[in-house]
Amino acid sequence: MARRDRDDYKRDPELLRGVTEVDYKDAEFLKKFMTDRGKILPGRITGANAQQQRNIKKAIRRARVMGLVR
Amino acid sequence: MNTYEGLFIFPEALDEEGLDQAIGRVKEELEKLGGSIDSAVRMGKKTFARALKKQKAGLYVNITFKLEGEKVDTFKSRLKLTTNVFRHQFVVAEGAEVAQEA
Repeated sequence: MARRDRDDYKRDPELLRGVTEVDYKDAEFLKKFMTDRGKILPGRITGANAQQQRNIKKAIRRARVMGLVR
Repeated sequence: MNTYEGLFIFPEALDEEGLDQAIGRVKEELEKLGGSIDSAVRMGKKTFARALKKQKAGLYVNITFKLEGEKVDTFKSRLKLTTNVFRHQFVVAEGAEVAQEA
């Protein structure tokens, strides 16, 4: 079985270029980092660096409380 | 005095006038504790991503306010007792003032 290229999984690299703050009210943006079931995708798939991934995680958890994302 | 950004959800059954009154009541509570409202942005009615307490939708209002840090807990408990806020969440508005100036 052929090994798939790891970068196939990566999302749009332009999406997170230079992003340092994530607004928890921007549900459409946050949904790009979640599965349809509402799980947070890992950084290796989203292409986010560690700091961005932490910010995304925090924002998604805040958004969940307010019913903005699943 | 800290600046907070609060997201408030009010019951969807409220009409325009009812929402005005509800926001007014939040403002009153805030002023009783020595705080003040900077801005109140109505984000309209949104359907929840999942049912919250058997409710399907709510009216979202984003309120930026100033309040002493020690009084935030009191404010939260007052909200529960005296207003009809369905759900709320406060975040310290870091750099909010900087963003307005820029």
